Amino acid sequence: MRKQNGTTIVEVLISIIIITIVLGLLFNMFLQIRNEDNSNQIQANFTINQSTIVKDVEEDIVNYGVKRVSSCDLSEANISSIATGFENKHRCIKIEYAADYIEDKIGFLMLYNTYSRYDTDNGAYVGQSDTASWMIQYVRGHYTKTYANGSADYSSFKNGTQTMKQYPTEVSTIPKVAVKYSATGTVNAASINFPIETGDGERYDINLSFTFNGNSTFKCLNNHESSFECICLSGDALCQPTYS
Amino acid sequence: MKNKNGFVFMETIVVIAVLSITLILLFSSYSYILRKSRTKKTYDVTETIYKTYYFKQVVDSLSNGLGLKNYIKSNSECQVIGSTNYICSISSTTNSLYQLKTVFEIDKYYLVNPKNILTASNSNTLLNSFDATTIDYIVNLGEGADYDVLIVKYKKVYDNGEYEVYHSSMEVN
Repeated sequence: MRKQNGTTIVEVLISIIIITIVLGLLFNMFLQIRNEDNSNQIQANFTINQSTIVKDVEEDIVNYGVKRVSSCDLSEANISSIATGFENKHRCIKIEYAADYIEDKIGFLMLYNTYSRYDTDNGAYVGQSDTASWMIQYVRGHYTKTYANGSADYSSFKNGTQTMKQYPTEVSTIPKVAVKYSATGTVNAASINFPIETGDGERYDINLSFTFNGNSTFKCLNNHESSFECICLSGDALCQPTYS
Repeated sequence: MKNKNGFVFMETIVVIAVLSITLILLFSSYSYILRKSRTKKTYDVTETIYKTYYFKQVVDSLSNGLGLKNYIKSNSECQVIGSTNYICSISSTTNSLYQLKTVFEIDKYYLVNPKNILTASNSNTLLNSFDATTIDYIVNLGEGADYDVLIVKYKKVYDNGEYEVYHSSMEVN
């Protein structure tokens, strides 16, 4: 009679198959945990950038008041060396402050793709020198030179304060920057929506809100219709969508 | 007689079954933690703090020196809850705050004392007067908040119909 020690080959095979299935499920779980950890880090980075920029711009808005908001080109803030292929993929808004007692009255909020740049406020480089990445930058300063016709020499833009942050992933420049505002004389309010959208559709917009005194103290210039819009919500004659 | 050395097939299957059940239980608790972490608590983000700051300033200025609390108490669009808490909407286009509601995406605003609500004998009845997200926010402020708070609820509606709700608050003297 045949002596049966331990298990047969079929039993061992079935056991191996079951163990493989369990290990497969476990492996998937660990992969999911790792991906989740990565995406949490990316989300945290976007959220920190969003909060930092909103805080810095809002501080200036609270302190100095806003006179005008318009779209702009990066050259107006003396920004060059944009990554090849991204020259037309950027967002830029110019915020002109109302306070008379400050020299640095022009703020630029910009989103663009470039290599490492020097952050004068922190005394350190932001971004990588070999790989281009998306940057969000807010700078407030003034022009030191003007041409004979009174227009500003963009190359003379001098930074007063600035905040620069690098994004860890691609962002989209498809949504338009929207300035919504209303003026009734009693309550005058505006909000600026500067869209930041990641590749997987998550939104980390820079939303700035403020009120202003007087009916015509705030104006919005609709100068780049493909990327910027001024939306008057009150439908009132006091809401002035353009300025010259 | 059959010689039984090592495990039999049934024993192996039982061990694997126990292991699998344990792993499934572990995985389900992991999934629960993951789901919870994905639920974003959008309380007091930088953007809404500034909006609330401006909102409070405007309400103060509309009160003609009487203060925010008196403005809310005398506002016909504010409903009193208990004796000292208020739920206010801005539905009338003649309301001076209507423009602010449109531009700042304000849904409702409240004047509450979280400690009074949470420690009242009829706490559940009081809380049920608020919507679910605001109840969460008041509970989050907790019994330690023994002062009047202006809570503003913001509702951001996207083009695809989806919306997000944010809350932010400021102490009112």
